[in-house]
Amino acid sequence: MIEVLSPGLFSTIQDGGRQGYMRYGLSRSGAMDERSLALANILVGNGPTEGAIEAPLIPPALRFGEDTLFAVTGARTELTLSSGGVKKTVPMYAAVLANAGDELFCGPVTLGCRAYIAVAGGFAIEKALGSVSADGRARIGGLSGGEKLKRGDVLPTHPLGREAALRRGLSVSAAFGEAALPRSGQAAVLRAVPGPQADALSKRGMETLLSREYTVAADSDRMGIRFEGEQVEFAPEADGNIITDAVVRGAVQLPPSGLPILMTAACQTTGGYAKPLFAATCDLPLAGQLRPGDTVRFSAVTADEARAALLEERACMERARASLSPLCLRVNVGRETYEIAVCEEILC
Amino acid sequence: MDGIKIVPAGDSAVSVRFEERISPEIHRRVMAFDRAVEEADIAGALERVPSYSALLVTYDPVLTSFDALCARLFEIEPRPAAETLKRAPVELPVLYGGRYGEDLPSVAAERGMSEEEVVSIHSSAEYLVYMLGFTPGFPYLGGMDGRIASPRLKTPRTRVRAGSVGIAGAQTGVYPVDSPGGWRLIGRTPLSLYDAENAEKPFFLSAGDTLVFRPVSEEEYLDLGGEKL
Repeated sequence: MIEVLSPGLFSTIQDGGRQGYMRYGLSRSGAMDERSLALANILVGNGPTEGAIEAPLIPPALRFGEDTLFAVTGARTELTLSSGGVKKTVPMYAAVLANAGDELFCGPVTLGCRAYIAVAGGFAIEKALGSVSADGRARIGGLSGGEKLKRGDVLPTHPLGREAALRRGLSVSAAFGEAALPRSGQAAVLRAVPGPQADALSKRGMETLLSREYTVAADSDRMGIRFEGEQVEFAPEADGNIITDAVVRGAVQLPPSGLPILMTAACQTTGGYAKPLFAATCDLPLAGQLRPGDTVRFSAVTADEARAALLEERACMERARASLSPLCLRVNVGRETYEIAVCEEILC
Repeated sequence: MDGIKIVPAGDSAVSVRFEERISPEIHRRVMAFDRAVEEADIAGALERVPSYSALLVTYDPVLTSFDALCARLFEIEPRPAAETLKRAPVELPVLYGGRYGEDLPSVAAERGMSEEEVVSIHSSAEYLVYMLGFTPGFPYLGGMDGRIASPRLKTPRTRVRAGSVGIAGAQTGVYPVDSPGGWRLIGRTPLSLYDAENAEKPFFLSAGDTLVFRPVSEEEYLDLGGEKL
């Protein structure tokens, strides 16, 4: 088990999301940055969508009740492992073995927004409607009732397996780990395809939306990222209101204010605003790493280009998974038995 | 199939669009198409989300593509809407008025009728569940009698209890979870529209259902597990 010493800003348990209930009005939820979730899980030997802690801006401090293999990915934070009063810095994007009683401290996030903390075997939490993702609006998931982590919470884990211990020290490069984080001082580019109500914008309005930089507003959350910037002009006779229809993550809604809102992991399933654009699925991890004040630009691509980029990203993650599966050899020398783990370099 | 338009909704979903207006006939076509897509069991298709005049179909872009999915969707021939089975209306017991529907007196006064008349009008119509959304299990209902239409509260309540039945403009609805809200509350149902503990049937309603409100006494409301206020 893992004890929460301090919960951080808004740490929640998230996995690959809740599938099959959108038609009942239940949000998908799940990790904002699925790439970093997958990477954290792959490092510790889990399936890519296993539940992990999603921790924005100020990550939690944790105490490990037993020996635990963990990995921290996503937003950049300085990790300190305190072992019997001795503090040492440990790397991100690596499988780290903590001993029973060790405490993990994460510094404030210095690049990106959300860090992910996965443990080998995942958390031993019962799924609610197919997922452990915390959904505060639906009051399900997480430890209970969709709540964020609180001081003193105890997260049950599975005993450390033999194979997991062999993964200790496996890592990917920081460049690979941070490949989908925004660069400081640069606008993040979100590839986007036209949506069902692209014709709700005037030609000039679409040009505005696809060329101007927009700034992430402070009231952004897991439901949606609100943007400030130049108002987008509607087509004559359009005002942003439509007959309410279904909304999925990636949808860029344009309400009558003319300022776009990107719907994200915990978005509502229906909405009454025009959706002139959809962010490409392959860029949703990047969107999930934006914080208030960051700037973005939408760049038009075709649905085929967006799909090709997503397939490439998935293939890259699969190569990472394959290369992080250690080949284990058992060698007997005299009376001693040695276990040797062999790993490949990642090529992407 | 004729009369539909299929447009991408990003790279992992398509929107099948019917004539853009709110009417039971259009919605029946949406639901008939929804069922036909389910029966067609298309490889790579994931979730279907019906709304007033559109059906969203999400897909796994690894398993299929926009073009491939469109080709399959255009082949679909739903059974004529008139032939689809009409299910019996779903009945929702409601305790109207008093502490359970605090705004019933003001709604009645504004409409120049008695509370009993408002209840009678509200509970004698058959409502169509166009879709669920906004919060888990919240039904967008059509079919309310315009005589009891009432504006929202100027200042929304910070907490409306789950099960509250309300009116907002020309719409009526039921709150599935505690949430803030500005609807005029006229009653409360003892049943849960959303119960995550009930893994078999977490949601009481589905898009396409017809719904009737049945007035009940406080005694029956409590017998059915309603919360005493």
